[in-house]
Amino acid sequence: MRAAALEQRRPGAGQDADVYAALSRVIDPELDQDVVELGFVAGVEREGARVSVELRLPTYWCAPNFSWLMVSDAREALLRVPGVDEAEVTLIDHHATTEISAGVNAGRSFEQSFPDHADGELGELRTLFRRKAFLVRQGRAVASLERERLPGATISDLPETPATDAYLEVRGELGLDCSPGAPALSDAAGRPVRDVEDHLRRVRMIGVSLEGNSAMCRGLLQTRYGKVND
Amino acid sequence: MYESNGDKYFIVDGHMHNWDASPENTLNEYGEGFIKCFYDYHANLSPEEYVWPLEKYRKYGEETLMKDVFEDGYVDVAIFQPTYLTDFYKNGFNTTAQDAPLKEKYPDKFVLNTSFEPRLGKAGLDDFEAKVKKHGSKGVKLYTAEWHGESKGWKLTDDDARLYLDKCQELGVTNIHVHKGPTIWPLNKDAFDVADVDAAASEYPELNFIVEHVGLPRLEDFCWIGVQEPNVYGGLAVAMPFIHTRPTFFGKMMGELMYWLGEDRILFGSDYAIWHPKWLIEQFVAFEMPDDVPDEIGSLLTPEAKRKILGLNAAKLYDLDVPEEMQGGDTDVGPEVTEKPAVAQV
Repeated sequence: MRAAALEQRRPGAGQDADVYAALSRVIDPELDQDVVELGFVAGVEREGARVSVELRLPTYWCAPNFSWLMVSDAREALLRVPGVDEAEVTLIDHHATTEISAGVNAGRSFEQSFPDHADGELGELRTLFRRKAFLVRQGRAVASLERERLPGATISDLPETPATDAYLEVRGELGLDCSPGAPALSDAAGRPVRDVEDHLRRVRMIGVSLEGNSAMCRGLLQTRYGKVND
Repeated sequence: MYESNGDKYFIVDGHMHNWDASPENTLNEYGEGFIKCFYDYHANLSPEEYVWPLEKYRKYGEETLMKDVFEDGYVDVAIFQPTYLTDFYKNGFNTTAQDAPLKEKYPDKFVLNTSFEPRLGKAGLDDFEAKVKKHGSKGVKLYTAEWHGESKGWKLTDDDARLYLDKCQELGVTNIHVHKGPTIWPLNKDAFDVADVDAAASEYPELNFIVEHVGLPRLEDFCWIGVQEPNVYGGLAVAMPFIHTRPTFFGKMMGELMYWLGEDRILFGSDYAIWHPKWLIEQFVAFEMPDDVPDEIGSLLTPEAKRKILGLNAAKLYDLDVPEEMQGGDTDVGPEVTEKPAVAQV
């Protein structure tokens, strides 16, 4: 990964805009929204090939595993920015700031950083939440289609909307068939949906959960740090 | 008792505290971080006129509590849900012992729950039993993310936790309130996952498992287990105040809870002093479903459902006497418990 990133570097490129563009690809796994839009980027400092970023979260107690994923994804994203060859990401105002910031910046794994408290890495957790995001995005993508059409609907029947793009993006990430003839609805493992009404009810439920968490996190961040971009 | 348009509501606040996070009682940065985090919840979701200064919030004491909860706040019976946090606070944040003087002084106004610490193993069982007998507790409040020495959390399915659930069964401590938090072992897994509550609820059908905060931030996981387990309930503390800032989300969430669990298994809780029961109750009784909530779920939060949620459901779990005029009509109209849906295995 690192070697590929080095090859992509173009000399002379890279302002803060590049840095923010890179960070806007970093997703809060629980909310399926990016850390720039959420207001989690507290500061960016760039000096030549070196960039330092501070991340902040809605609470002192935000779960360390999700926090780790954001900090470590941010560092990886920064190292892929043309012209950057040193990146440091610091998580501020957090109960596990020492383990997370020091661990990520030293290139240690999650388990190495929490040796007594973890029994593995975070891949499984990440996939679990990508699957939840998949279902929510699917619900948004098919929202404007008539219910009667849904049982046989394929990817090619989806409207050309940002919601569809977002859905196809996560479909691809999960390695599912994105060809025009593939069924529009499936479970997160790609299996066909038998009872459309029942499936949509469950998708709706996950969407409500995500909406609530997003409202809570945005509200708490604002209470903690003052008004951020809404 | 709350009265609106001639209707009288029996009010049980299923989740409240009498905490001490004064500087003198705070042991370390984690205790400081804890109360500040609590304060942000309070400040973020309360109507402006109900927001306290941080100093008052750290320790408010008996007089304030009694006035807020019972005089102004309409509550008939309040359930103390202790949160020990003895690794963060010298005498604990809000222990059964701290709450006990109020229970002794006002025996009819409070239900005094206690707690257990599974990581003490067999050695802690006698202590737990003594606590239950001393305070007459019929319920425990468990915080699975609680730190204890080197441990940063536990699950209801741990062998040691089972020892204590067996003991609960033996002692008639039938109401197990569970609050999930951000840390647990192993830290790489989702600490908010309620699968252990699911397993414990199956294993202990005589016990009631009240998932606090209706599983937030995992409302969906909570609803899946609620569909499957008839002895799983949801406490509305933390979920309730969205009624003020995000009424549409609140409507959708209540609709989902009514759809998946039904009106008999949801309990009101203010989480006082995080939120004041007065405005929560007033707004909840007056709440009308926003238009953009789908009818299928929006129609389910009926006046009768509100009556049950505000007090009758908790009264049943804790054998509280409800005056005749506040008893309401029908009972047990929730949906059938069904098999766990396939989508739960996302």
